[in-house]
Amino acid sequence: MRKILNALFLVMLIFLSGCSGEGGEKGTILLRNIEFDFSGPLDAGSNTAQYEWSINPKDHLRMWGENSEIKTAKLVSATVNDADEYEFDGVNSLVLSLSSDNADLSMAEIAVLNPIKPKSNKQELNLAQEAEIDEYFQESMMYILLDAGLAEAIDDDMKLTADLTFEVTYD
Amino acid sequence: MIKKATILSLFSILILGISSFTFQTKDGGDRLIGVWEPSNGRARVKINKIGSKYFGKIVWLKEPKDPVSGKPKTDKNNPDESMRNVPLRGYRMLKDFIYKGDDVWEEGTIYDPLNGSTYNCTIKMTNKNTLDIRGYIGVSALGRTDVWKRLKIKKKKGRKRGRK
Amino acid sequence: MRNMKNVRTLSALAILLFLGSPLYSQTDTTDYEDEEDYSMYDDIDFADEAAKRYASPKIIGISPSKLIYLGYDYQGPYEMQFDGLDSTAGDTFTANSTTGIRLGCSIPVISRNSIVWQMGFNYWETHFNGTPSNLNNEASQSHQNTFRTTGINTTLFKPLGEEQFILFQGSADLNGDYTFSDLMPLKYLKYSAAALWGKRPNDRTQWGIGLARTYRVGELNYIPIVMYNWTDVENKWGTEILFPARANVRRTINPRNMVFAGFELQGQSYRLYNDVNLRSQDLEIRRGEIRLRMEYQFSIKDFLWISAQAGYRINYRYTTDYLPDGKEIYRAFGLLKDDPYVMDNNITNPWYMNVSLNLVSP
Repeated sequence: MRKILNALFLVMLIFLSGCSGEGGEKGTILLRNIEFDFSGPLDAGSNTAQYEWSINPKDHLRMWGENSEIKTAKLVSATVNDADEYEFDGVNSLVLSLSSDNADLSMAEIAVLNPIKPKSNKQELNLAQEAEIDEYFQESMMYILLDAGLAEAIDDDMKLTADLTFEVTYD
Repeated sequence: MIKKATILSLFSILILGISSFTFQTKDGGDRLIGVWEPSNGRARVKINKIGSKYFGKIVWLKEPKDPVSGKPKTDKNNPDESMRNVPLRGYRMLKDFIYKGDDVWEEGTIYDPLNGSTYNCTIKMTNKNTLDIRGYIGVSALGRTDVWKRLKIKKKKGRKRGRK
Repeated sequence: MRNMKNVRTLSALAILLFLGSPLYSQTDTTDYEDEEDYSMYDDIDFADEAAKRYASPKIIGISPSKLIYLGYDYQGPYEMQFDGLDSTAGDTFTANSTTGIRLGCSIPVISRNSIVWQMGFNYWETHFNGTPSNLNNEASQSHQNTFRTTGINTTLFKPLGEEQFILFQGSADLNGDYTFSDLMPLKYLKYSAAALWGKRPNDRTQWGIGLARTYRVGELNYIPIVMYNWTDVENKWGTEILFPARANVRRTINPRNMVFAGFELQGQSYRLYNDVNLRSQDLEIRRGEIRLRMEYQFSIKDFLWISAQAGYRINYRYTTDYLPDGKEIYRAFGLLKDDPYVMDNNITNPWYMNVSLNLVSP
């Protein structure tokens, strides 16, 4: 009797361990060199530029099929570069957010750097640990916003670019 | 037959003229765009549009610096610890408002940086320079209304980038 | 020929108008910029008249007020010694514990900067778990029943400009050992009220003085009240005082976690109604107690908070009086009337705890 029970227990254990964990494929979506153009005159304070991203997972995910759907998404790296190579002159903070026209999706701040690293044309942003952005990747389009905080008025244009990496699961 | 063609052309011009006029008037929702001050006078908020929604960013604080550190205030009460370095000046405290007609914007939220709480919110424009901003929990009855007033601003110029 | 030419001209005009209309103008959303100059917001005017500023009912850092609460109160063991009633023998009652649920709500009716008006409801129970030693003493026997307080209340906060305000609170309570199947008549309602004038000189300080009609000391009294709410610059320490009803020092760990140390005065007059014999004697028990305590308030999720108190309950008053037809004797701490009480009882002091789940307001 005991042997039968032990065997049953083992079978259950194997069954449960097989069922545990997330199903689906894993993939990475890289956005390289997305441009944020700030047209001057820029004044001291928070200036926003946005990038409208039409999401096309097929271009990024190897196993993407016709009926595939992204289940989870997480930003794993965000780098902003000064395309003018002025070492982010005048900029003291950077905030990255996502927004959507979908009424059910709230704007999400996904990365921040305050203060920025001085004398560098490349800034690695700190990622939000609790941002929930899965549903953004179920839309066909989203806005990526970059807020650049300026310490003083600047009578000039400014061009920043960003490299973003998202890790997703899909089926 | 010639008269019909003339009438058709004239009619087209008339229709296009009317539609052109209609599209040139400001979308009712865009009247929210501008700079506003809450009744307590402790902050000023600029509302603008991103996509089809309206957002409000803090552009001025009565006490912009943290009294302890002396540095510009950040969102230190954000429930997400990783986002506590976001500067408060520039912080979007009003988010995701959608114009519903009848001078009402709904489905948005308002954030209170003093305690890191986010409330459901509706905005009603009582006149072109006055807003009723109601933050609430769950149902509108469990909330509070604040009156915001529109401000006029003047622009200033600055230096060139890369030259200090 | 000329007419065809006219048609072509008109059509060309129509096309030009069509192309020129906003129907075809695209908004380039890939390069959206927003320009602010923080310094430009320092010195600006209102678009029309200036906004009227009002004193807020709260200060920075104060603990959130409860919209709805559900709690449980527990007192440890203690002894009650009753005087004899009309030459009957005295009695002791050993309470192993005293427990009861406490629930209430305070819902905004009008909530704007210019006025805040709230209406509320409360229900408190006090159940004595123990047995009297002498079943002939009806007053002690009544402690086998549950004492209840059922009431409604209202609060009005009216700012008088940017700094000054007035606050009014009023309540009507039915207190006694009645049951839900046999409620006390409304003629036994007890009315309490407080009116206060105050100032809020800055975002961290609020004070006021006023007068209250209260049963907190166990019997009807009119007493002065003092409010003093304050938060330090670092938002670490503060006070929340409405003396003599309560006074607390607050230590803020963060806006969602606060610890308090202080005291609260609680009390009511309870009509003995359940027992028909006692009812006909128009007896009322007067309870007043001071609760010294520590309290921890914290948010479990967004606006759902828990408050947990533990402390020591000190008896201030435990007397019994006759009140024919509910008419109260206003003693004014013995200054106006010095009539002896029908029973002057004693109880020892236990430790206590109180836990409640609260929905707090914005």
